[in-house]
Amino acid sequence: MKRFILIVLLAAVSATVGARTWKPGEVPNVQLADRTRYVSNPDGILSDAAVARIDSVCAALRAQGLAQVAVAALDDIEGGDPFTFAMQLFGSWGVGRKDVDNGLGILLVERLHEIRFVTGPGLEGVLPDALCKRIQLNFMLPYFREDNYDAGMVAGVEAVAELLRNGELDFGPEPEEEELPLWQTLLILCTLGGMLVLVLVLLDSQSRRCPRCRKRTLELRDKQVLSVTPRYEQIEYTFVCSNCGKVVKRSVRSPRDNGLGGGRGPFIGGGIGGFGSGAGGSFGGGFGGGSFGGGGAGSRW
Amino acid sequence: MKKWIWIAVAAVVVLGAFWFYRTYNGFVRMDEEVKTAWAQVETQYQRRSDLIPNLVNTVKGYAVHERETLEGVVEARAKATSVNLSVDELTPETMARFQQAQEGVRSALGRLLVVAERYPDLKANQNFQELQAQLEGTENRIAVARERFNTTVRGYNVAVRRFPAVIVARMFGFGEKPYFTADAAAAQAPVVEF
Repeated sequence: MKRFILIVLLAAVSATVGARTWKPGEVPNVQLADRTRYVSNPDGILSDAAVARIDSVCAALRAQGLAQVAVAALDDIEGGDPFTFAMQLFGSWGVGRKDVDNGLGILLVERLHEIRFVTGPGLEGVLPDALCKRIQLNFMLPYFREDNYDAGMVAGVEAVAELLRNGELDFGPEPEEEELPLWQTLLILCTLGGMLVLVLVLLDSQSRRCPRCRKRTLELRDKQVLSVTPRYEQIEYTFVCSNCGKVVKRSVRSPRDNGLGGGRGPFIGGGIGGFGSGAGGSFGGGFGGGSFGGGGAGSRW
Repeated sequence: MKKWIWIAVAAVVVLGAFWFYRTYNGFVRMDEEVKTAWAQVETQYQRRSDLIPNLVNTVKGYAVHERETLEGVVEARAKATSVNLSVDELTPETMARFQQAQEGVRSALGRLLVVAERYPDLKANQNFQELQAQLEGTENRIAVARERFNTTVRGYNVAVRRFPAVIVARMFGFGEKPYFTADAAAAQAPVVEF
């Protein structure tokens, strides 16, 4: 236990030390944790106000069905190639809708003084490489040269939003909830079906299994009413095993009506619950699973 | 007793036929995937070729004396667009030829961009800067398309060479497909330092 605490403390300390070289898998996926957040700012390069502003622009763009934008601002990256890093990072997050690939990833690497956009194929019509470059040169680099990352990022994202709103983009509405992949649906159905069958078989066999010779050969021979009350009636059923001849008597108490309710039917519990990304409240989000083709632009200052 | 033997034989035949059908259809699907991946690669190379006339015109306006370099680019482009490969013609040799032609375009472009560095007016021209961005984007797209092509071909080749599927493959002529090999020079977009 002590060692565990020590390790946890060490990890926490090392995570707070600055100038970290990130791997794509290590960058926190803020959208997964909170569906209103689109900016991953683990090194604190951007101020909270800037992050909030960019988050709101990204949320608006997604709500309008124009694009899914993800932003990451890092001190340094492993490999030194922002293009490959951005492709891996935003590709693994699946930024953009799966069917139209309308994702835009924005990566700022402070130590390399480089800003990189990667666009999904669906956005390349409205946001071609040249326009990405133009936005970077005209809106972002002037601020970045003065070390003003907040203003630069906000200006860049707002310019992108402006472009997307005025451009000819119509991808249709975003699907409400992530649908279950087909094989999972089938698996669940098969399991439920299997359970149902199992229960039925067990119950059925129980009623017809002879206690002596263990075969399902009990047959109903007699039915006798033992007692009657206003609400219930007690009935005795006499079974005889056709195999070994054992006589079994069972008395059952059933409510006095025309047999509705109270049966021994199987009860499959309800509440299968919400699967997929909507489970457990409205916190977690996630991107749509889009992919990138290598488009976009990068600029250094 | 005899009846059981016949039933067993029939079952084996049916299973075998089913496997046959599944394997063949799997090959067809993978072959189509390779075709699609190849089409993507060709699209991106074509995109680069399409950017070149615009680039040459822009540079010509500023770098009047660099005729040789400009002509080099135009020639390399013409050579590359003349090499047309369809998926069925993909062999290691034709692939090498195709790659070589495209490599010629890339190195000619690299030379042109190096030359353009000596002209500050040209470098400052926004149109030129955007063309550069487009070129870099296209080179990236080419790299991605090639990587995806290689991945698709790898899956296909493994499926076609595995036993016992290889029997079906040989029977219907599903041969192996070639890969893109790494280019001789550094496989990077022509990098220009400002």
